[in-house]
Amino acid sequence: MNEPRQPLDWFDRMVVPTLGYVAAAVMFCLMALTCVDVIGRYFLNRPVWGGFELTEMMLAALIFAGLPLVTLRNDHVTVDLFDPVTPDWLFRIQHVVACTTGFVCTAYLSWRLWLRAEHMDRAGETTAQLKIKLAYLTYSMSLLMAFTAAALLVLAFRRAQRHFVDEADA
Amino acid sequence: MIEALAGFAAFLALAFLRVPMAFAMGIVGFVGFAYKVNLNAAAAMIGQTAYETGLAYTLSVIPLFILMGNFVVRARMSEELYNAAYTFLGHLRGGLAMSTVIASGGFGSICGSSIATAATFAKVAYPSMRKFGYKDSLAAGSIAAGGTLGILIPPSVIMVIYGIMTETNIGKVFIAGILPGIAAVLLLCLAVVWITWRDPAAGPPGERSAPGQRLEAVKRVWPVVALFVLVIGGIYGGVFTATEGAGIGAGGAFVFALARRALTWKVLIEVLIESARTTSMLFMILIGALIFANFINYTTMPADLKDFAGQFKATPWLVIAAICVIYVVLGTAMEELSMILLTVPLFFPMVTALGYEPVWFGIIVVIVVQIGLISPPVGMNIFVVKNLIRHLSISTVFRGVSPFTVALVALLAIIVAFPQLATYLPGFMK
Repeated sequence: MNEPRQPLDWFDRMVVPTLGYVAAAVMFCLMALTCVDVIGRYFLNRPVWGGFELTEMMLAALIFAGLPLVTLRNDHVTVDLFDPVTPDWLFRIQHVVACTTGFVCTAYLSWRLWLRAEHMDRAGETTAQLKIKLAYLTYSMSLLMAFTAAALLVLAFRRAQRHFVDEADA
Repeated sequence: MIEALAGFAAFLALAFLRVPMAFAMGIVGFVGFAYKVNLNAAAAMIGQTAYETGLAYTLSVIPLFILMGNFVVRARMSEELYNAAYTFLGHLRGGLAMSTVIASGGFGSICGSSIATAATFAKVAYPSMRKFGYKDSLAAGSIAAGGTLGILIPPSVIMVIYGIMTETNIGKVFIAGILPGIAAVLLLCLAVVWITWRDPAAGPPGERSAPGQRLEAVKRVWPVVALFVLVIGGIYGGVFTATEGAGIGAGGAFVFALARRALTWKVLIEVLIESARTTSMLFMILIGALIFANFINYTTMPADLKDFAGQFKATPWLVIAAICVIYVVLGTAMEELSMILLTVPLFFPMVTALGYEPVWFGIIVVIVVQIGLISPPVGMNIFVVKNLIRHLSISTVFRGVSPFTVALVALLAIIVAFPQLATYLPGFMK
């Protein structure tokens, strides 16, 4: 794996391992929780206290922690129908436009989530059973969305990769 | 109606400019909603959609089934399945290709992803087909087509998404997929028979196995059977909800992978991260599509389409035929998940208004997605097979897969003509 160094690769080194482990841990806990909950409910007649809301919160954490990872790998689903026939100069423009558009979307969404979190914070919203403050979760979602926005900005400075084409002669 | 059409046009324009699907749908949904209602409402709507989709309990079924599939892939259960099918069919002309199809079907009964199934058998089945001198076109075609069984035979990620979008019971859609799944296996095998009848050199026979070997090979498949009975049986019998079944399935697959020493810490973490990434990617599109749907629901398009379909009360099959044609055509060029996320909210009310069963339409949607996955120019499964078997050319795979595409189109026609195949088994569920 002698890939040329990417611009701004410190960003990947900082974000990818950390969020990767977080996402992996949450994924595992989600599975374990569901299993324990089902077994507890059917065999011991005791579901996990707050299992429902923990599942919901873990799902949100999982999705949002995974987003910067997906983004940095350029794994978002795109129409790549014309990739093989797009000239290089146009492809570069497309790449920058796509990244910038994505940046605007995710940055805006991050801000909206932050506002939502502040609102929840003021209202003191908590989950029903465990009384966990929902604002913390929403702040985290907003931050992770901001990371995704940053990742898109980083990508804009990198060389675009065509899907499936460069692998043909590898 | 005009606004909605403008919305679709804008979405397509953005998508073809290579803006990721999720953002393209989100942007159009946001702008459209702001235009129909107002900017503040649109801003609140996207924040709420992102938040609520992230925190929806029923949606946790998606990562859990993805995780189950990834564990099953690492546990290498595919090899036993292929081997078992081979001992029965290997000595026939085209027998290895039929084994690939049947083993893919078996694998699909514990894995909900067509890409994972195709990728698995590209590694498991291709080497032995090559060894016996199969033509690349038949080998690649059977792997790419067999892979699509991953989403028709339950569990299935596409069925989960359909169930969530249309508020149809996911368990029932799963069960509805069983008989069509078996029919699909038979039809794909028929395609193999046809190919080797036309060109016997494409799939020369392998070695005949002794009855003892057959029994031995079948016995080794028990983990797959156990997992299928546990998850799908549990859902069918009403013991679990789909979400619970997914959790148990992921847990079970984890235990099997562990027991077969297929997991090191490194592999475990890889599997978890890979599943998390796939989940994020799916949810991004899902959130984008929901934002888009929120806009479309403010336009007159859903009602207009429903009224339009109402004129065909006497000949409802015309509407179904039209929908199938639209799907097969769209599926050639569009990414399949985005296609169903965008269109099902429009078609579903029409179809149910004509008196069709929601679970049946779910199966129709899955089959058109299958066809889309193996039809040029952008069939995902074809790229997967091509990428794993490097020396193949895309055109070889496309050529090889085309008889199988015909078989799946025949399947679509059969399910349209005989809806009972899909609706019979779910009828017994509470």
